[in-house]
Amino acid sequence: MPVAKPGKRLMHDIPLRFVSKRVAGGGHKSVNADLNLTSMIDYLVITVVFLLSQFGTQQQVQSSAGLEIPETHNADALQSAPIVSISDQAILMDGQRITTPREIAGSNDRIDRLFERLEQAKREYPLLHPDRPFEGDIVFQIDRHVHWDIVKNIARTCAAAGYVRLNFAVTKGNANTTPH
Amino acid sequence: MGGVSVDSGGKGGKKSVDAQINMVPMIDLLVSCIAFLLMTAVWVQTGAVQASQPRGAPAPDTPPNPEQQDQLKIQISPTGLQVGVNAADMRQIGHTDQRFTELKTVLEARRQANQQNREVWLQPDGAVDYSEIIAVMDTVYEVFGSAARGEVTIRFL
Repeated sequence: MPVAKPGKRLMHDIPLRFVSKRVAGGGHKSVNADLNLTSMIDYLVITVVFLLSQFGTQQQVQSSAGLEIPETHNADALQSAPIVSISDQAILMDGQRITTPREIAGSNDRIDRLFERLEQAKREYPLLHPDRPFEGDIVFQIDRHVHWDIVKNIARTCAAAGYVRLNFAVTKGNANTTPH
Repeated sequence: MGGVSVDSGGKGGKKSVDAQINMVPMIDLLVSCIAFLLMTAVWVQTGAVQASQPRGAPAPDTPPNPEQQDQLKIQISPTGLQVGVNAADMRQIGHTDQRFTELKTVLEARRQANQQNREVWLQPDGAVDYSEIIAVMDTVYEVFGSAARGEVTIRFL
């Protein structure tokens, strides 16, 4: 018996063109790829949940343009308190302009506008935080190049209004940038 | 198009009970959520170093009271740092790159000598940059511990 070439044998002897065409094969490979979507959706959902949890617990300080906050190794958690921002251009409280460093430079007087705003914030404190007693916390967000005499004047006004716990906002990091 | 079929075992002759869920809008929504959260996330960790000041408005340049005179003081000026309890005891640290390392050594020695002392008074010069004061407070935190946990109290003269 002669050796036959291996291959498809079924229905090859039927003398009809459409049958031989069908059984001969040779069609193109499908271009549709089946993706397993389950693992992809799992991955996306886990990423969303992780980002949402980070989003919720992240403590934020109002950012001010051009404010360069110092970096430290050691820091405590930031308190929820009125924020006083001090830069070379302006002094703000909770984002609202109070005065400029130039206006208060060389003066030891109380900054009346800041004092009034602080007094108002102190009056509102029990309404906003009914479960916590007022401990005089205030957050200072200060540019690293501001001179201490400006900060001292503002701190004195804060003390006059009863804000005695100064929380200097810093960024936690390596603190490799030694001040010059 | 990706889809998920839910086969409940229907047989021929009846209307198919397979349900096709279109996954494209769902994936679009998830990717949009991730993009939004990534863009709005705050990556910089913020914290605070805490200091206390006396209640009320003291007159400027008030001389220190007797209670303050027994406490560890750090005088900060543009020319360097001075650490000590009183004028006779002050240790001068020049304005070099190594000043905070030196300050740390001095503070550690002070802490070892007097374990009870948990109060540090800072006396910065008006012309000193704020970053210099924060660097000194960072060193105090490193040696004594956290002010929020009550391990040290930093005050300003």
